[in-house]
Amino acid sequence: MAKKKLSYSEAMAEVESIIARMRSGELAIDELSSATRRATELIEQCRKELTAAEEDVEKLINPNS
Amino acid sequence: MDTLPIDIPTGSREHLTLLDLQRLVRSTLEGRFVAPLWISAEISELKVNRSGHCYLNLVEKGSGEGAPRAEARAVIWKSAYARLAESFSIATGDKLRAGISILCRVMVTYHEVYGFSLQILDVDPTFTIGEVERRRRETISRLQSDGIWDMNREVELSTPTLRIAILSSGTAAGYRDFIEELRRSPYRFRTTLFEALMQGDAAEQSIVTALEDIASREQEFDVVAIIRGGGSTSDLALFDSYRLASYVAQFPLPVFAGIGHDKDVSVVDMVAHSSCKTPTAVATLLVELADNQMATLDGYALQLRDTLKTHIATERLRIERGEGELLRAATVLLNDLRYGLNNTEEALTKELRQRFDREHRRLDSASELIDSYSPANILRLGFAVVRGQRGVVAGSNDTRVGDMIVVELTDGSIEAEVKRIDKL
Repeated sequence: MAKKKLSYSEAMAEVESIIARMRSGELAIDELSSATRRATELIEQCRKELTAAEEDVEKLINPNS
Repeated sequence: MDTLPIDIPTGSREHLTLLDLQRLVRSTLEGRFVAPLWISAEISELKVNRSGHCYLNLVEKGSGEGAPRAEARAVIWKSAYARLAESFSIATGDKLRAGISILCRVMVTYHEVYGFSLQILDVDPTFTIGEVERRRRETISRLQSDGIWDMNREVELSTPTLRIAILSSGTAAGYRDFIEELRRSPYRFRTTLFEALMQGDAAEQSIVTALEDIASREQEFDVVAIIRGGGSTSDLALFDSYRLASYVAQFPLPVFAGIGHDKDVSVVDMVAHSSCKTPTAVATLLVELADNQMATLDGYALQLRDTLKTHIATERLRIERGEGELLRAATVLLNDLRYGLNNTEEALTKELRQRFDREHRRLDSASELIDSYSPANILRLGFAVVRGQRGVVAGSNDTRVGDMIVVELTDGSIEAEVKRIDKL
């Protein structure tokens, strides 16, 4: 089943949750890899969304540029 | 003239016949009054018979209204009557009639059958004029003491004065002249005739009745015109009567009198709002009045126009000034708004950029953290993952001596056998 696409803030919340779990050492070495992957994917998604939003806003502020 | 040598009987049984007595009275009177003499008296009755002789009853009243203190029959023979009546009328403006006082030259006569009588040979109109004038002054004085003398003259004319109640005889030439004069004017006068007798004994009551009719329709009229023209001058005394003058003085509408006379002004003329000598002159006055009222209205219209023009010009100026002020205020306001908007826009842009920067830093920071926890990076630092037959060997209890284990390194793996376990 395809995972529901998270919003920016949901994605960031999940990343921060993963980081917190990593810091606490509760993740096993096996889980660490998949958690890293998940976090990396989410960060990438956030970057894309942030960049898109940034471009949209730039266009709104400076429509002629 | 017979003079009878009749002696008045003195004995107790002697007597005269009635005729003898009458003859004796006649002879005595004629012997005493041999020449005509002047007497003053009031006419209480006057009748002219078919043959043209005028028969009168003369009285002298006391101070009250009771029975006369003296009374006598009198006659003016036809031969004298026409002349006397005409000269009296010309001189006094009145006629020989019941109710007036006269000074007359009389001959005392006595007739055996008809008795005592006076034959009037002459009448002195100046006495009657004086008498009329005295009564007239009395009327004026009474009207003044009643406080109504000025009342009608103080009634305000309505504007325009076009609805006229006419009090006149419908057949009088003066009435026709009046109507014709109004018709020639450019104004649309509305006239209503209230017919009344303007001469004769019944005239006073007839005029009063007509005035009462007009008063009952007061709202329909602006003015009353009392018109009398073309008749004889003998009835003018009517317009000196207290009753008529009192009605006119107190009338609620302004009364214009045109009662047609050339000499004295009647009391009605004096108490009326306005008076003229002829009906035509009254009509002319009404037309002039309308002229003046129209001119006044035209003046008002001009004033109104000028006032409006000034007002409009002032308002236009105010609007223009207001427009300028509004424009200036709007410009200032717009500049302020634009300035504020620019500031806001800058602030927004700045905020957005800061926000984006923060988010980027947040992501970078998260990414770095994640990287630092990534197994690949940890292995690259020289750490290794040891896997046994039961999974990752995280502690010394997870394996035993002799077990085969795989050591995963950053760039490969090593298969090894556990030779010894040292616990910390």
